[in-house]
Formats: sequence, C-alpha cells, structure tokens
Amino acid sequence: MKDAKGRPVVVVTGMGVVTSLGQGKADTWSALTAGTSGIRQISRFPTAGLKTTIAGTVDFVPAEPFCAAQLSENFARLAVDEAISEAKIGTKGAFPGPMFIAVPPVEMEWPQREALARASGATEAVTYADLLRAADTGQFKDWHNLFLFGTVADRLADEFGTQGSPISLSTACSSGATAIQLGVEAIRRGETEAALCIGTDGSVQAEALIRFSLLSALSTQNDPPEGASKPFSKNRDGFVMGEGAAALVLESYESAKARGAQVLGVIAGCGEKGDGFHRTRTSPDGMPAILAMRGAIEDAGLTPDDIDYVNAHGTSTPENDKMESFGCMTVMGERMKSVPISSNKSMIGHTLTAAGAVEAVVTLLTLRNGRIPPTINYTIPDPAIPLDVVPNVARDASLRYAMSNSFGFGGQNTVLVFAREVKA
Amino acid sequence: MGEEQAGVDAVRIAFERIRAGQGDAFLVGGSYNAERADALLIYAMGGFLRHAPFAPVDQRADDPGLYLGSGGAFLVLEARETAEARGASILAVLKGVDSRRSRRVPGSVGAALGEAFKALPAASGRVAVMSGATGIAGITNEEIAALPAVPVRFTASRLGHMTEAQFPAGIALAVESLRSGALPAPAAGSSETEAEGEPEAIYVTSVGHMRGEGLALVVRAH
Repeated sequence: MKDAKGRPVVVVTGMGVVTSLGQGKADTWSALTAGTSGIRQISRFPTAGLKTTIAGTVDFVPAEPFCAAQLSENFARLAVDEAISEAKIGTKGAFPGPMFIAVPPVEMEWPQREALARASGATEAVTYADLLRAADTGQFKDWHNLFLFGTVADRLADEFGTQGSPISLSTACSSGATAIQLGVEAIRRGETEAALCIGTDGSVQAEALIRFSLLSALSTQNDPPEGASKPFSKNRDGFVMGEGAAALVLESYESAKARGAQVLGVIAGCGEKGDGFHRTRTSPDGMPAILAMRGAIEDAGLTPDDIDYVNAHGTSTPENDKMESFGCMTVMGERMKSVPISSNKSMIGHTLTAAGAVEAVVTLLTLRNGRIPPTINYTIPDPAIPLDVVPNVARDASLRYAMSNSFGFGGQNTVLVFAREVKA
Repeated sequence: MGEEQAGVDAVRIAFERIRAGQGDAFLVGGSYNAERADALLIYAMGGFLRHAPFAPVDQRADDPGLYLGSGGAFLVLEARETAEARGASILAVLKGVDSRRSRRVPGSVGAALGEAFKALPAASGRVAVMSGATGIAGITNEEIAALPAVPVRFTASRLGHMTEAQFPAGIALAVESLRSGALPAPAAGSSETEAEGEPEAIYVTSVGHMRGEGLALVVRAH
C-alpha cells in the first residue's frame, strides 16, 4: 500500500521506553496518565551550591563505569529489547534493517579525569601533560571507545544485529524525532523494509547540568521537585533535565502485513526546518517552527484541520512555550484554541536527545488508547497562551491524527505527524 | 556512526535522498578541531597516536598511528537537473557512496573494501584513489592491499586525520583533482607515484580508526 504521494506507508510495530517514571510502556503510560511526576532531587552527585538541584533521573538502571555514555547505552538497550520483543521481528540478534540512533554528545567526565590524574602520579597542579602521560600507558584503553560518539550505536548494532552502518546523530533536542525521520525516509525510498529508530539520553551529570544552568535554561524552583516543570504556565521558569530512551520498530505496511505483525500506529509525515537566527534562541517570527509543522502536515497528505492533538515540545522555558503556542496558532488558526495540546515534559522533564523518540512513543500510545496525558503543574494560566493544555488531569478522546513537535537548540526543528490507523 | 563514519554516512544519506527525490540540494560535510588537549587525550588512551616525527601515512611502520588534524570540508550536492536549471557549474559527478561496518578482525577491512568496490559502479578511464587511511597498523596495510593498481594520494599525509571531516575532504580533493586535471603531487618520501594524464575517475576511501568503511566514486563532469 502507498500513501497519497505514492510512497510506502510506514507503520510502527514495536515500541519500547524507559523514563524516570519507569521501565517499559506500561509503567510509563500509567504514571503519565495518572499525572505523576518523575522529577526528583538529584542524588548521584553533590548539588550543594548549584542553582538547580533536581532532574528526571533514571536511577534504577546501573552503569559501569557510571557516566553519560554508558548510561545512555544501557537505557537504549532496554528500550530496544522491549520494542523488538513487541514487534517479533527478525531473529534474535538479527534485526532486518538499519539503525538510526540519537545519542547525546559524549565526553570524559570528572571521575575519569581524576582517575587519569591519580595514575599520572602528579601531586601538585595536574596538567594535561600528566593526563597524557597516564593515557599513554595503555591502562585506560577501554575508555577510548567508551567516549567516542559512535560507540553506543556500534555496541547495539553488534548485539541486535542491525544491517549496515548504524547512524548516530545529534540534532540537539530534536534528535529523537530526526532518528525517526531518517528511518521513515529510508523505508520510503525503498532502501529497507524495516528500521530501528532510537533516542537515548543519560546526561544528568554535573558538567551538563551546570552548562544548561549557565544558559539560564533550567528551572530553579527546586522545591518541590515535582512542581518545577510547568509548561505553558505563567510562572514557568525553565526546563528540567530528564533522562530516558525510546525505541521504535518502523516497517513498511506491506512488510508488516505480510508477516502478520500488529500495527501500533502510522508515521504519516515528517517536517524539518532549520533556524539560523541564533545558537539557542528561536527566530522571533517563529517561522522555522511554523514551516516544520506545516511541512509535516503536508507530508502526511493532511491539512491542519485534521490534527486532533498536539504532543507539545513544551519545555517549560518562557521562550519555547510562547513561541510554540504562537506557532501552533499560526498553523491551525482559531481552531487551535480547542485542539488539545499537552506536554509530557511536565512529568518526565526534558529528555533532551531522547525527547523526540520518547514523545513519539507516548503520542502513539495516546492515539491508540484514546487518552491524553495531561500537562501537570498548570495552576497559573499564561494569558499569552490561549490553549487547551489538558490541565493536570488526563482526558479521554477519540483521536485520528496527532502531531509531535521537537524544537532543538541550534535551530533544529523536527515535527512528526502520526495516524492511529492505516487509511484504507 | 560517529567519527570517520559520520562523514561517510552523511554523504551517503544526502546522496540517496537526492536520488530518491527527497531533496534537491544538500550541504554536507564535517569539521573537527584537533587542537584541544581533550582530543589528544581520547586518542592517546586508545593508543592510536604516532609519537615519532612526521612520516607519510604509508611510511609509519616504525611507529604506526595517526596525527590528528584540524579542518572542515563541506560539499554542495545537488540533483543534476536542478543544478543545470539554475545554470550552476558542475564540478564533478558523484556516482555512488558505499558505507558499511565490519566486525573488526584481521582481514575484515580488506574484505569490506573489496565488497564496497564491487557495490559501486565500475570506474573507467584514468582512475585514481584519494585514500583517507589513518596510518594505524594493520588496517592501513589492509586498505592499501585492497586498492586497485592506480595512483593513490593519502589525504592524512597532507592534512592529518580530521575524523568526521576526512571523507568529505577526500571527496573535495578528488573533485578539485578532476576539475583541475591533476592530482596533488606525490608526497615526499611516500610510495605515491606520478599520475599520467588527467584523472577521469577517483575513488575516495575511509577506514575508521575503530570501525566503519566507506567508499565513494567521483567522476569528471564532462
């Protein structure tokens, strides 16, 4: 079966997710629809003296050595395992398609630097010459690979047996959606019948937190932690870092049907638009985000009137939520005031690199279950945002089409449109 | 993939998106800043750096390894139709890009490149190779053994190893060689040989220091 543009229809046949609310779709979904927050006090490193001391950390997944790279790999593994088990595709260790994975930028963290410094024997001020001398001994060989960008993908490709060169990518906070877009496009151009699309992020480490803090991007309303992320509220004051991963098995509808797979939803359209205005700020006229939304809706062969629900980027920063609201109003017109839009980030925080994939899974569950997770912590409406944000309590609704927004720092905007069912 | 293969995959995906009509024009490339102690540290931990004085990539048996290099290389890839329609001058034609990943064991790089050469359209006329070899033991020799018997230029002998940027830079140098009608002169003290006549087709290789193998074929525009 082809879509309105004569391309293969791309469906989802397996999904897996890990968030601060739990491991797996069942736990995450029940907590999200109960309006539960996964934001908590950070316990993995000392936060004394920091402006922000909370995050949506995933504390139940071990990692050795404990660092963002290893944690991100371990989250992804759990999500992929769940997705492939659900899709029942291929054979164990042999996934019949390529992998597209959104991974956070990796770097050596303080514990590793300290280990090198100790090994160097330097006792006074430690310099890079000391660290290099320790590195040259070869006793830290494994850390070379650990801190390469491509390693998470390489290890997962070994384990799950994906085909070809796995694609690691980073488009900042739209990375997860970009991974899905690349999978959709590969299937549409007939390069493959199936693709494994992943977003993962375990970046809550001291330096990453401090960097976002220096950008004044984070909420500093630490008490209570679960009240900090307030998308679309007047008193919103920044995002809350979150962690997690999601994996989706994408297939051409023909391939899914031929093997009798269960279709969990359709990825009907993808839109992307770069914004060259500023490194972290969005274009004042909101056009790149607007064009990304329009592009996705058009790519799906739909019109704005077809969209029944918007899964917001909804970071809880003053700027994003205002711009996103304006963008949605521009695309959908007055009707937008009655189209439900909610932000999962109110509960799980901003899972950064993983967000687009995590929220794609949640959006597909929203369509499938006919129930919209709320935007929690919505007590002081922002008069500049005249939207139905599904405040505080989940809502039942029969939905056909949903749009999920991802707007990244650096002006990387990606929007996905999902359909509940394959149009006959 | 990250590192070297990111450059290969970026070019391949842009190429395939254009071929499939998913976009008319792409800006694709990579850049790398090697002049950071952190960058050296990562490669030092893995034991991939050459410490001895400079030698060309193919002459490093005494102390195999790479020198990192800073640089950026970007290409404008465009569908031929749209390029011609807007009157753009076509510098060269990208005939194919192959990106693959072998589980690294002795022999796997040579085998992967062998498969890659078979997967691309055959080159004809005066052929050359723009190699992105690193200088690392084993894999560099495997690559050299897998190359056709034509003039070769090793980009890392000139630019250092620019990781993500190496493959796009190799393509850019191949394009310029085709456009200008001459390969870069052989590097002093290397096995590179003089080429006779103007090159008509150039293969560009990439063998990642840890993983990933890539190959492109660029031919003259006219």
